[in-house]
Amino acid sequence: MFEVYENLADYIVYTTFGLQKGERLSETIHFIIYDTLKIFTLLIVIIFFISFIRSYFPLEKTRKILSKHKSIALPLAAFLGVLTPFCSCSAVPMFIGFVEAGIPLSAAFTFLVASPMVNEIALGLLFSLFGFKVAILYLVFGIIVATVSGYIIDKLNPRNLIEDYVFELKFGESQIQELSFKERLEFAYHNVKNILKKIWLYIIVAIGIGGFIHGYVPQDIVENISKNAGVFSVPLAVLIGIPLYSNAAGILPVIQALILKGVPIGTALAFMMATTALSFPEFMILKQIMKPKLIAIFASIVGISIIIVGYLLNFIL
Amino acid sequence: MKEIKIISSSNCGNCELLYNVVSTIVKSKGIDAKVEKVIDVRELAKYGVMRTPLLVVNGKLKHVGTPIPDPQTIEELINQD
Repeated sequence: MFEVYENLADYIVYTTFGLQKGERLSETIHFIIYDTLKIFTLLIVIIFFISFIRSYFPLEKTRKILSKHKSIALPLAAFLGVLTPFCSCSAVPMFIGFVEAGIPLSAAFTFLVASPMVNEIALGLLFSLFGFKVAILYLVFGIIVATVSGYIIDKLNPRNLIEDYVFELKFGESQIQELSFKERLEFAYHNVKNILKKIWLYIIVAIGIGGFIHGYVPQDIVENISKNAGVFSVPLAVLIGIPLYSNAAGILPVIQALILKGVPIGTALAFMMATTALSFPEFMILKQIMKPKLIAIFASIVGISIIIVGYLLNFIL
Repeated sequence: MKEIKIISSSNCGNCELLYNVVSTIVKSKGIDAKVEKVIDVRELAKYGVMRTPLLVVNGKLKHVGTPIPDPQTIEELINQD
């Protein structure tokens, strides 16, 4: 599929630069050129495609769908969380809006986990860098973490740990107009442009790390580190990931380095989940509607679910 | 005089951006308007919206969320009735 890029990289490295095939430097440069072209192509296609789908699921519509299907709201919230664009700055209005529409608290919490964690950037990057299998695993296990967390938090009866005004506010009729097909394409185009503007440097760094390890680090060293990765690496990765505030792209060079250094994929994905799903700035935002105790419960349950998933993935892969 | 409200949420970069763009347009084009930034979830609820920022001119909802329109479109949104 990317033969053109392979040939182009061949041409640049061996013909233009006149480097010898099989040497470390030339292999590293070749890897970086090829990977950069391949990854940016995949990213543009994937982010455009998912953004286009996402234009059909603005937060207000998701709220409407969930309020109509309350009996299956919990799994549905996780699924729609993937499709609905989310900004941590919308966390408070989203939570209040869901509650006001009579959507169960479990589903509101589930959405709060799924939406930031599984998104077009995360999926696009994982697919481009690590392939289809890793991206799908992230998607499936992300949905599971979100659903289970929402279910457990609800069972702990969090009602009295949520500020009263959340249950008193009334929402007006939404005055938002449906987008036209052209506007959806524009939305997707703008999204690709804005996201790439934000993440290109991180991706280049990640590819650079990959290229260096590809060319200069012998395979047996990588395998050795992999064998020595301790059993506590998963909880440690999650604990480090929770307070960190980063989107999927910012964390990517670290993930790339970890995986190429031989850290198991489950551990690396758990780290990425913890970083994107939970962060201190988000806790500060949630403080407007939740007591600190509930935020602590929320973070613990999501954190523990991610740790379990990390172990599971390491076991499976 | 027009009343322009940018309804925002805390920690929202795009809200700041819209507020700055609108303020600049109003100033540079000499539009007779008062521009105000409002951070209040009640205001969002009033319009049945959960995303930010909102551009409201004389009580009418003109734009919701991201991406933020280009300055020319924003100027038209402010001027149309």
